[in-house]
Amino acid sequence: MSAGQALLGKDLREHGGAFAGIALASVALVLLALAQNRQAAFGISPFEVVRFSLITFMPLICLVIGNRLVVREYLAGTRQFVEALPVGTLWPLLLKYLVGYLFVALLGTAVVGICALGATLADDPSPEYLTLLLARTLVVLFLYWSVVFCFSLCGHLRVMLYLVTLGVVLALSFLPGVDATRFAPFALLDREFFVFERDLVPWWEMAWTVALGATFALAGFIVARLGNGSVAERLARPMTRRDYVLLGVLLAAGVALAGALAEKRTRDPVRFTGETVLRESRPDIELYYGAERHRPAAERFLQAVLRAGAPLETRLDLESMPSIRLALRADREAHDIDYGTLDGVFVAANWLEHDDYDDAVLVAVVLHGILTARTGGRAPFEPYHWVLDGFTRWWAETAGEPAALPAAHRAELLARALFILRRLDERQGLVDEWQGIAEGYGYPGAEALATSAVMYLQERAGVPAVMGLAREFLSVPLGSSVLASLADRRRTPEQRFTAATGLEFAPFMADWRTWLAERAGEPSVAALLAAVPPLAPVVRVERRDGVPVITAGLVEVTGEVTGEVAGEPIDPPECVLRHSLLAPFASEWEVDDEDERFAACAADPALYALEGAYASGDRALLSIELETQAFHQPFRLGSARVDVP
Amino acid sequence: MPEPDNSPGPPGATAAPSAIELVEVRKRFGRTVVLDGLSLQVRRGEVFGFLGRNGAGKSTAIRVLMGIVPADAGQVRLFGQPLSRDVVAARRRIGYVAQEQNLYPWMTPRVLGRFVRGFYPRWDETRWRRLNEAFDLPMKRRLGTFSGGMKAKLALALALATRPELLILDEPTAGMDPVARREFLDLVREQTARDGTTTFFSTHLIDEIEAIADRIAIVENGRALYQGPLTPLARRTAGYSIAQEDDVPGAMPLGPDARVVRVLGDLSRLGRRHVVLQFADAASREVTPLHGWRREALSLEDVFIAMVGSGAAAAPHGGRSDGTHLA
Repeated sequence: MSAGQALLGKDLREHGGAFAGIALASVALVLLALAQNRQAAFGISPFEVVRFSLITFMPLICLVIGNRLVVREYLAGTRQFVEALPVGTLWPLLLKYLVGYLFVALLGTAVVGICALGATLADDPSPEYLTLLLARTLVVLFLYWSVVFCFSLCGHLRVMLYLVTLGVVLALSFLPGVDATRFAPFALLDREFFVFERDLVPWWEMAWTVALGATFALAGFIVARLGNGSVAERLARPMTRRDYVLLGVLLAAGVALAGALAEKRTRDPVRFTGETVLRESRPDIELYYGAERHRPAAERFLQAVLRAGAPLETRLDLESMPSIRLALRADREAHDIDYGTLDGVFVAANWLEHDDYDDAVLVAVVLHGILTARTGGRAPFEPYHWVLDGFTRWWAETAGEPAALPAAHRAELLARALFILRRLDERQGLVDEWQGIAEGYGYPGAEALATSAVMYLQERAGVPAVMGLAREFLSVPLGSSVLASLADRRRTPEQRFTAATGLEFAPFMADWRTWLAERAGEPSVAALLAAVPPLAPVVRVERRDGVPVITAGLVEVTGEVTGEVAGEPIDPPECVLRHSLLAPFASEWEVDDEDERFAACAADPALYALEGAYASGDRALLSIELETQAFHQPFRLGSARVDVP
Repeated sequence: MPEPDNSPGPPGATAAPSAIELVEVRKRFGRTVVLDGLSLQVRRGEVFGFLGRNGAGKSTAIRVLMGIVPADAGQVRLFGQPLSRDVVAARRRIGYVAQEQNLYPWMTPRVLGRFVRGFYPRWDETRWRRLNEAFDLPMKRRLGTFSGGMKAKLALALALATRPELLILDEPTAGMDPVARREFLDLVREQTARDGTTTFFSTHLIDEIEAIADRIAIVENGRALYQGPLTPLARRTAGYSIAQEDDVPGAMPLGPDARVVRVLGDLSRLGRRHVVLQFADAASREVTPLHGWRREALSLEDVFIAMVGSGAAAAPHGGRSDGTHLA
């Protein structure tokens, strides 16, 4: 048996049990995360679990391994025993370094492997993608282990070093103006790219991370040999009173720095300057209207926002309201709205030609922004996006007073909702499959469907139930820690719905469908529905002379009412085809209006032809919308995704 | 105990190369000079006592000898070869018992033996077991439960099981009770006598040296104050005292007949002035002291204390820092 084998055997005998325990616990944790993810209403990619492990328990595992392999050897003085054995000076330490990295690398590989197995149930991860993911994982682990190895050799100073490192990482993550995801090693763990980047290899970031890791490893070996090992030996002694004082000072400085950073992070809201601005202090609203002639319309719209926005803070128990900035864009179409929630709520739109229905649509967008900003982006999550859309529109119309809902608005919302209800399979989830509905029938339709659900809830259980539902889903920010995140997932959205309203979710949904179907009997609703031709889009893709050609048109839907109002046939309206390229990371599936094709609505599967608009391998979203005066917003008859061969 | 050889001669002069040879070795840690030109020569087969106060540089000298820390200057030779040539090969020929037994507390002697034998090609398993048995060490008990004495005996067994050509003991009895210390020294004497292993025994306890050493070196401030056999050291040292009222400042107890090498100690205590002298020959010790002076009985410990307490006193008399000139 060689010296290397003896040292390796000793380390395995000493730490093998702990290694096995850590490995089992890690695998169990990964399996648990995968299982929970599969059951969660808003599932994430199984590969997110790899990233989750890299930013949560993998660093802790490195710490434990470093503590066992290196720190213990120095603290107990057993290093001196090994030092006197006939073996090269750095060999025992090098072996420890390799054993430690090998262990975390194997663990990382196992995590990737398990997640890959989980992913194959719904995805087809290519070997190249898995290799890329594994490479990222191993490189990040190399850095973690090298840092821990280096710090472990610094004896009692290591606590301070870890705190300083943590402080630097936090500072880089939270410092305004620093986008840590743009440079290594943070770029390797970027939320978007870690899981979704399947083609580009981040060579530069990986090289930097490896170089950084190698620097730490080298620094560790240098510390170990500094003063012929006397420095590491001295550092391995227990902390003195002076060290504790230093640590305390460091902690206090860290807390002060964190406070300062947090203060810096809450940026002052943007201020509009100039004469043509209306201002309100509670809530903080500034409305820019550009020219004095637009002032009356601006004041009208501001009042509409205030009517709905001002009572929201108290009625939903919101701790604070974000700043609201509204800008008039007179060059825009009436329903063309720009919207952002990065620092407060920004909405740019043209309300000059709005009637009270259009105002309600725009006010709902502002409320949407307030609650999205307030919940740190949590409100639009898939399983309860319908609560956000439905509540904001209901609140924009009523401000909590159901009687205030205009009959015409109610009819239009119900007609839109009924149209979607009829087109959907009975088994298909409605409000809880939000993105699909929004893509298929447009956001106005999806919003109307959600609003009808909230209207039904209010009719059945009263306003307090609606407010309870909104408070449950729309007033609390997303948990900022792992524990808070787990606590968030402890109850399903259905359980939370029941807790907030006192109603079981599934029966509520069934009753709501029935209630909505019955609304078709209301004359105002029936009249609006009659304006919609019983047509549904159909799309075909083929290659003609090597060029991809997309043919789109309409087919008749049996059982729907034909286009007539009060028994009188109406002229066939115009239908418009809109289409957009689906980018790899596109999360919003709105079609743009850059290329529009108009045609009279008719049952013809080849109303439109797109020749050479898309190349092979492209994915596109096509929608056909009704051009009608009966409805305020665009009315989507349907949409289809197309993979161009 | 073999008759000491009083003529160590210059380094490298003996036919067989010395087991250990240090020539003008210097080592400093930061601003602290730990070894300040230390020279030593340990012959093969002898038990060499390395005597010095705490902090005199003994442990650093041993770390240099083991190749754990390199010397800043000077030469270190083991078995005639420069240590720097192959430290690992040199260590394979050395059995080492440290001052503190930093053994893995979770190991049992059986596991420890299995671990250590991987490093030593000459590992003798039979001997290891026999020594454990002889030292009354339980093979299946965790080392964390061992007493200090048991750990020292285990370390000795471990060192001897490697069949070393050189056994280095770095204050192995520190912290032991007198019984355990005696027992340990008996084991060392017995084992080394049986094998003829060269033994380098570092300690600050005179009685240990007296018990087992053939030759000694007294080290202070990183330098050897004396190197040679024990008996001549005692023979060539004497203590004198005089009542303070009879004393003339600067006066010495002996006339010009005595060949004084250096004054090892000169202090006043309990109304008397005490002087310890080191002579060039044994005859000088027999010279009758001057009027008023009285000769005092000196133990080896008194000599040692006087020597290490007056490391700087040697210079005015022009003596060398080692004792080889006594030959």
